[in-house]
Amino acid sequence: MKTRNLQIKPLLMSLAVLCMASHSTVHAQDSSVMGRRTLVYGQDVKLPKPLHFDPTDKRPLTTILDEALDGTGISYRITQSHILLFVPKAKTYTVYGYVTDKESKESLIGANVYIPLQRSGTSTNEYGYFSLTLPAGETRIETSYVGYERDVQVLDLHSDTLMTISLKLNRELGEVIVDAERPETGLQSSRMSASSISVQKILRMPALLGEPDVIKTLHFEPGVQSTMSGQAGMSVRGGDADQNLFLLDGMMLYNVDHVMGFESAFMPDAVKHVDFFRGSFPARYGGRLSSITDVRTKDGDMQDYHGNFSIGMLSSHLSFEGPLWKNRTSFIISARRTYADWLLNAFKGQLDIDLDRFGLYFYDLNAKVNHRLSDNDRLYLSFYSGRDVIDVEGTTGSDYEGVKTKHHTTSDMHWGNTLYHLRWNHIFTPQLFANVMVGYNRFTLSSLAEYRYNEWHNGNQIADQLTNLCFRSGIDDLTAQIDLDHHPVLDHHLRYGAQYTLHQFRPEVQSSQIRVAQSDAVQTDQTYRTPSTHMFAHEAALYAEDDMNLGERWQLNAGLRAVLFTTEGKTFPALEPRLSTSRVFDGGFRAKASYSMMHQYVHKLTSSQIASPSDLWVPVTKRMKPMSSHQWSIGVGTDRWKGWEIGAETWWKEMYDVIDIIDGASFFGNSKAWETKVTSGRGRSYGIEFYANKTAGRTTGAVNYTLGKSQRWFPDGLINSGRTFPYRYDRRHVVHLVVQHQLTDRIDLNASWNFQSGALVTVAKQQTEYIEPGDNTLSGDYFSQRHNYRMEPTHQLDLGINFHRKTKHGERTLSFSLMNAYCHLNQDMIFATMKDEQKTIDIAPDGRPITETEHHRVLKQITVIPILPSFTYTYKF
Amino acid sequence: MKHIIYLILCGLLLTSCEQEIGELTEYESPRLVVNAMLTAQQDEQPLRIRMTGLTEAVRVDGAEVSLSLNGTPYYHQTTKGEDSLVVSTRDFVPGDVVGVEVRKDGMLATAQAVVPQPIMITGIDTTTVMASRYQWSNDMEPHRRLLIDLQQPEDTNPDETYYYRVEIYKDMILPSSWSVVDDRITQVIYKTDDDHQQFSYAGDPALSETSGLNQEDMAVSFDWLDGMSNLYYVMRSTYFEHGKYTLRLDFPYPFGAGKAGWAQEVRIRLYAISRTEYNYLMALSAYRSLDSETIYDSEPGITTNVAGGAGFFGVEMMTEVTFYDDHDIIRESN
Repeated sequence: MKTRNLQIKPLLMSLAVLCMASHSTVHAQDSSVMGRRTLVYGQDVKLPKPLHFDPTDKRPLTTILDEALDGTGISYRITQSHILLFVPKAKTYTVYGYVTDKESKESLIGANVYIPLQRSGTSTNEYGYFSLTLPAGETRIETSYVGYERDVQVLDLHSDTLMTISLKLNRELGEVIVDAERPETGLQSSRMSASSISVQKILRMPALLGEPDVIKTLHFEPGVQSTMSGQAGMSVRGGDADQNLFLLDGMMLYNVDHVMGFESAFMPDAVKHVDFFRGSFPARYGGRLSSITDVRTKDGDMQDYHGNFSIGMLSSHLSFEGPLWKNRTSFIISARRTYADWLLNAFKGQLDIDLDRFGLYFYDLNAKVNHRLSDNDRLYLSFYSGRDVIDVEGTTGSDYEGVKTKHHTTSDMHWGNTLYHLRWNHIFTPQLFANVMVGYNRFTLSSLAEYRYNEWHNGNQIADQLTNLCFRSGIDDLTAQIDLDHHPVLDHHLRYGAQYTLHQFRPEVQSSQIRVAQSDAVQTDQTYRTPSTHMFAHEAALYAEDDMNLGERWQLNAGLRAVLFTTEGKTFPALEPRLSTSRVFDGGFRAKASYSMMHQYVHKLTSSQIASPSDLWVPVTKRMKPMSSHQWSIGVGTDRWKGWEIGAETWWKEMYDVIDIIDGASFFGNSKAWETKVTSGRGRSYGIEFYANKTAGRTTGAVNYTLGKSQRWFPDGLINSGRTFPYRYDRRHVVHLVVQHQLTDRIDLNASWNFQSGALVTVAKQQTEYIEPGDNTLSGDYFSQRHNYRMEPTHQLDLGINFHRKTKHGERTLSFSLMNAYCHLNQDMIFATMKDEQKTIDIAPDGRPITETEHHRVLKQITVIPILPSFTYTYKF
Repeated sequence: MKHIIYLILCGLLLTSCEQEIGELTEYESPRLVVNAMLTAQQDEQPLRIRMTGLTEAVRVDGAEVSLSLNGTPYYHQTTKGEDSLVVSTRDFVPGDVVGVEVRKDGMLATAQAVVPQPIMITGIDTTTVMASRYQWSNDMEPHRRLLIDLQQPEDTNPDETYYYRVEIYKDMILPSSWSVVDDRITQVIYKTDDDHQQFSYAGDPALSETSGLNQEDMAVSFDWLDGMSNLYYVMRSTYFEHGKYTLRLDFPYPFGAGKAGWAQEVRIRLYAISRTEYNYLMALSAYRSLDSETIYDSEPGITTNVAGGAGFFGVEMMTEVTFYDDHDIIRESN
């Protein structure tokens, strides 16, 4: 009871009263002023002093109440039987807008926007947008982002407010504090198994031939292993290399490898932000079982023109950006090209290369235009093209007694992705942000081989024969997508949307031409072409997810993705629930758990450990079901020690209908009838990851250890006779260590070390006899089971040092790297072979040794990178 | 394509090192090898028993070999180190389940196969086509094309895939002698190890399915674009329409066949085989076509259907037709 002199009477409270006064305490008083009304108020009503009604007071009840409640913030409502006291809810308004870099106006993805009073916050989305709905009144907003100075603003909030929060780059590398309540990744998010990779980290990693690489930086994340030394391919939590989805500004890329996998297609110069998910997948992503890598490119500086170029041992880069219309339109263009071909051609004499031309290079080109239509509308137009080229040309001939002949051979092979996309960002309401995108991606592989023969007699051409053959394959994707980002209230962040992709797969198209001319008369000129084998597939998805705060300690992210994949007249429907939750404990500890279901509708056919242009992506068919997986994870972590994040996560992944190449089949150079060469079965991987990240100070870095196991089982017996076997990426122990140290303002050092248990390969340890039709037999290698040999563990230390120097117009950086610094000869590939040895068994009477041949089976290993120094010169202007 | 890829890999691996890391000493216990590709309804069919070894497979003495037919004991023999055992398959009929069990010193190897339904040959036609015999050559030569009509049994399930294997034998008749002297064919798509079986399957979609290139459409071939050769002429029923298919096989005119004329007696054998046998023979083709020491092929291995051991055990159902192709020229010359 709140007032001493009130008489309590039984009361039937109305529903309206219940709604308005939760946790009501009921008080009643009989007085002439009140009539027979009952005084009702809830526990949120804190009366400074008891209300006292004088029966003799003849003033109107409203006057008495106004006087009594003046200044208390308490309102009242009078009904026939009640006087209801309540505290009116504070009016709320929305603060929304973008977080940008102060100088370039580049939007910042994943920046933390924190409201200390509410002990809550949010983070910017993929487009730098945020929205917070807050009570009216004075509000303090703190914004932070890794590598930037914290921004604090105090607002008197009395209407919806559009803000652009500009953060200043912190060149001092001082303390970094991450304090948002709901970032997408990291310890403080509701998710687990997710991380954001900054461009600074990528650029400062030791690099193969001076080429920093986005995907190779991911290799140092927990649960990730490289498929081979130097290769960009990766296996995530025991999955295959084709189970990783790579998105460039939201568009899917297929083959993201250059130079047979030794470089990836993402140019660090053009990259703004990388989000990497290896579990706990957001509902807006789908299509792969093991990981999602979402790479976002820069939008271009709205204020000033600037850029950089670099010259390395393998390639040169150029990046340039600036305003087309200040504060309205910007552009950025980045390009790189390797020049191994120039070097090889320049030195082909010394290298004894008997070719007219030897072209081996790749290039990437990124271009983007960003236009601000209004405060609520932005338009982006992007283009990417990346291509590998192998171009070989050779001529031989003779000239004897007036008869001259010439044989000319050309081989030209190129492959790569070309991607266009148009994006429109619109703020419908302060709480509702929309991204609408249409895009087109084309992956092509084209190979042309040509042979030409010419013959002259005494200067007159008497023969001109041309034979060529062309091979092409590719994929075209046309994508339309809408994503809605909705912040209805502070504790809920909803994302929902729809995606549609029309896939066109062109596995193989071949054509050839024969042209024969003799003495200028064309005798044959024919072109042949194989029938087109195009396959169309439709992939449509709807998704929704809610990232919510449940009280002060619990966070929950619940999502659902519904997918329809149609091909060859068959539709594969799927529902994919996604769930992750986090609870905070005292002392800065957090516990997390998650569950994700994923489906995969395309597969990469490959027979090689090395990424090859002949690797073909094919869709599921009416006979091959989509792959699917369930992944459960739980983990704990803490950031109680300033600048450190320490934690552990364990996962269990069950995979269904995973496909693999059957014993003895090969896709090498031919994918015809590919369905007969694969079969589907079960997969399982599980493990535990420990990690410690140092995120602040002059020395930053990470160390992590993964203990994992991965198995496959194909019950139809076509692989390993139906027995369970360890998968090729079943590496028991994986350790990564990365240290980056700012020695002085002008020098930074970096080092990375990784250790992996040996990969599994199939080695013929014995010989057997194979039977052929007609009772013929054949001696050959006997492979007792798949992956029967574990190679030696691999480990590699890479070192790098960067020297920075300010110049009149910019900054130059000299980078030196040393890959595999202590030259450990890793077993990257291994094979068994026969070796014959002559052994003396006796001495003949004439003194000659009598020998016999002994056969031995020996193992040979190949080390891809023994030790490799490199340097790069970079100039920023 | 593989040569180009080899070239690139060699370039990339310029900086790499290859080194011998010693003799393969890791112990792996030997296994019983059971090898039989039995043709049903024959009097004598070989069954070979071996043991895997470090440098070669070895014959086995004292292994207990038992065959069963639909679960009933059918044959029993103890090996005495012979090259092969001989079994009769006279009683095998389509649908029968044939089992084999081999025991030796505590080792046990077992396998099972079902006798498949035979395919029918309903017609044979011949024609002459011009085709190039050699790579990098534009010289068209006349080839004898056989068009062989195949028909699956009426009770064949149209939703199921069936597997077949082709063998062709021919005796060439030249006006002056019964001999075959054509030994100059080197193109990979011709079977060259037996003169009596020379033919090209490149014009046949089903047989050339796995070869990467259908020469009927292409007219020229570059060996690096050829994938794996179909060394055992296996095919799937995927190309059949309403249970029917016409095989197209091209025979080069024999060396010496000219105005003098020629004729040939052709024996065509169509074997119905299991999917397991199809996979086994494809794997063997790949193994023979590609370098077995290749570092690029990540998953080598040859299918075995012998539980507890190695080798292959299968039963085929054969259909055979022989016809006499008396080429016009020989009649003219006669």
